[in-house]
Amino acid sequence: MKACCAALAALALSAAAPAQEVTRPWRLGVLLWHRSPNDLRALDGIRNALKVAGRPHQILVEEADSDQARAEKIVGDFRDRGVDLVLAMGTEAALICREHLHDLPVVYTAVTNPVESGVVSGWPGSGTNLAGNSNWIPPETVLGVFRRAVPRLARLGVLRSEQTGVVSAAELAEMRRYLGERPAGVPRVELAEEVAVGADDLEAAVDRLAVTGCQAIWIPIDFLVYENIERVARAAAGHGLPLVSSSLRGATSGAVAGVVVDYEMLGERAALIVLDVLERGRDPGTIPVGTMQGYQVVVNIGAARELGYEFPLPLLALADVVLDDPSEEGGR
Amino acid sequence: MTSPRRRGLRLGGKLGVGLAIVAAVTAALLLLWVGPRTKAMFLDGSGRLITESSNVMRAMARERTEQSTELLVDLIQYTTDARHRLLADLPLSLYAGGGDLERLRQELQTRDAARAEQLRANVGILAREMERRAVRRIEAELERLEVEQAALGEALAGEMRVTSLLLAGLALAASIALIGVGLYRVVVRPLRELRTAARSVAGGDLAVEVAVASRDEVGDLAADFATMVGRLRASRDEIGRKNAELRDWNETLEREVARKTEHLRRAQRRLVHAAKMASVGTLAGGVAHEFNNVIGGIRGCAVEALEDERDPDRREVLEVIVRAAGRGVDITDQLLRFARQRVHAVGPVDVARVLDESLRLVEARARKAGVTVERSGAERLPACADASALHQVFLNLATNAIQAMPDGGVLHVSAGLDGDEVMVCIRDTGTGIAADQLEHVFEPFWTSRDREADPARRGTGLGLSVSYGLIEAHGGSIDVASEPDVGSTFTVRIPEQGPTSDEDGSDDSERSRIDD
Repeated sequence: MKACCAALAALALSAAAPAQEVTRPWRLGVLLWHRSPNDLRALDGIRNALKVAGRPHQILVEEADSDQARAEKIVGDFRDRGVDLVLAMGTEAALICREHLHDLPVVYTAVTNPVESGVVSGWPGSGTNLAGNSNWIPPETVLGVFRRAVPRLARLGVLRSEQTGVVSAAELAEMRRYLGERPAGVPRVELAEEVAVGADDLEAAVDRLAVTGCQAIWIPIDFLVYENIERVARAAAGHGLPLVSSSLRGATSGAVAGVVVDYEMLGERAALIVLDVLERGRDPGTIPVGTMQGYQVVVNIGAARELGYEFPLPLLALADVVLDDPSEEGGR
Repeated sequence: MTSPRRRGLRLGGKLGVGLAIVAAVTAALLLLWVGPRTKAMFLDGSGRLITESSNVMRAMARERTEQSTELLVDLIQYTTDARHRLLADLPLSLYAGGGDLERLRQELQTRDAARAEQLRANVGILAREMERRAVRRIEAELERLEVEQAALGEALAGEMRVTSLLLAGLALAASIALIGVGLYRVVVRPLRELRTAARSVAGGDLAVEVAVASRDEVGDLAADFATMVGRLRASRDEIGRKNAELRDWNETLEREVARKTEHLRRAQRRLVHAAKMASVGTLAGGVAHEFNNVIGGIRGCAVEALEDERDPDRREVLEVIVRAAGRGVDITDQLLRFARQRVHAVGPVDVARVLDESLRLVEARARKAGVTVERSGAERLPACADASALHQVFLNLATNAIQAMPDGGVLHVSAGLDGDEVMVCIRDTGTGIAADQLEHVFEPFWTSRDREADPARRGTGLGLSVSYGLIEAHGGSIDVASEPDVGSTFTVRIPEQGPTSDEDGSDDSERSRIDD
């Protein structure tokens, strides 16, 4: 109720702000580090929001295919092509932009933890030309969903990689902090971490986690891990362990349950930052890192069925996305 | 011909009856004990399963209701929270910036509709998942019940197996016992008796009886065995009779052979003796006749001379001549008698009386010699013979016996009938005759050496040969048995009916008996 009133108030304030007309279409460069579903959904949200806002714009989408050099070149091209703003999709794209693009505003989105990953120096604002929002989900929310998926969860395994584990390391650090400071009434959960040294070590890492006696394996946002999610899922199924994920890719590709943000809405909210910067002329460095309160619970019945895992029905009832067939996606 | 045996229940039938009894008892046990017990077990187990199933279904229904309630409460709470989060996250400035509240409302409605759609889909999926889980659980429960039912069935089957095995074991044991007892009584024991009887029969006892009265195959066997033994017995009796007949025939044959042999021997002796006697007789008759004339002349002249002679010395000489001549006449008389020995007056004679008369004549001599005369046997022996010849024979034998006992002894005389022959035995306790001389005693002029050395006992040697000839002429025989220094026994046999016309003493009736 309170949130509803606040939303209406913000609506009223916004309506009082003077409108600024844009005389030419904005040229927005979009750097995709890789074709991550998260990033693509966020981009959809940006497009929708800009359309809703009625702002003519031109979006130039370039994919780096996880290539550092290519990404740097793309960024250079954006500068040369005189884009008005660069949209950095994901953590790696944001970091490239932070390194190589200082004279253009950069709005990042789908960055799980901009501070831990070094995109920005602090959550209140970057102090630089970067502003954006995070798909960060608080650890208590993540753990809450995981507990719904795995009742009586006492030991949670964590699988991440050495090469692309920056975000996952941040997630894990936050989770450890939360569990260390957990409020009264929150059941204790132990974490068992395994870091795979490469894609070929993922199955062995799963085997090592299985020996620890964990009841489920958490796949944080880790590109290498969810790029090899099928192998990880098979390895975990061999031990009868369900996967839980905090990434959309993981939740839709092998985990029995996941908790993710609405990346489309995240993109819409990123579009607001773009409007703030380009339309209202706000300094990106002063804009706090945007976060989401909402999240989506993804339930993959197909993966659960394959694993032979029977997760609690309440989770199924309140799921925002239910995947009955591994090749399908539900939700909005 | 024996009447055919009445056929009774055969062995197979008896076995069948016994097994039928066992089967009937087993069936009765099954019906009266096994059936009710199995039914009780089944009802008990089934009831328990049904009760468990009902309990499980009720628990599942209860659980489903509770789950549904919890789900609903949880859903309502989550939906409310999600709504708040949505409103917090919704980029309202996008809509408000253009004053497009209507669009905002539409956005909210769109999201609400999407959420409602998702919820409906979730409910559908939830319902399917609940159904699926319920079905899985029911299937699991059914499987468990099936397992329990199978276990119950297995237990029942096991019970049945145990019971069946027990019953089968009992039935088998009973059958075996029954068959064993039956076999023993119906087969083994009778066969043992048959075997014992067979051994007895093999040992020669054909009087054995087999007490097997059954009317089955064993009884038939026993009856056949008894028939066989009966026939064996009859055969043995027949063989015995035949053997007895053979023995009789054999004995008869032997007797006839012996008799014929004796006849032949006698005939041979007679022939030899007769030949001898005939030769000697002819010679003696001729010599005696001629000598008798000469002796008669000499004696006549000596008697005339003696009548006229007064000289005592000459008279002694003439008396000696007369005595010697007399003796010569005696000898010639004996020789003439020897030459003319044959039976003359054959008629009814009391042989015992003739014997007694002969013994009276030698009584004086016997007393003088110290010989005791003993008489035994029949006092009357009628026969057909020549009394004079018999008298001569008995007198001769008695005289010889007394002469054989110069120092005294016993003369035993017995007379009797031996078959169809009159037998007289004259036994002495004298000096006896050597074995190598026995075959010569009836030869003419035979005397023992001892007798020749003693002039008082010297004779002509013709007495025994004359006696032999006289008895042979009767168709009889004289046999001698002797032992030196013990005594001699002369046995005289003559046919009771007298001599036949055949000179060798055999007759056609005897020959015909042997041929028969």
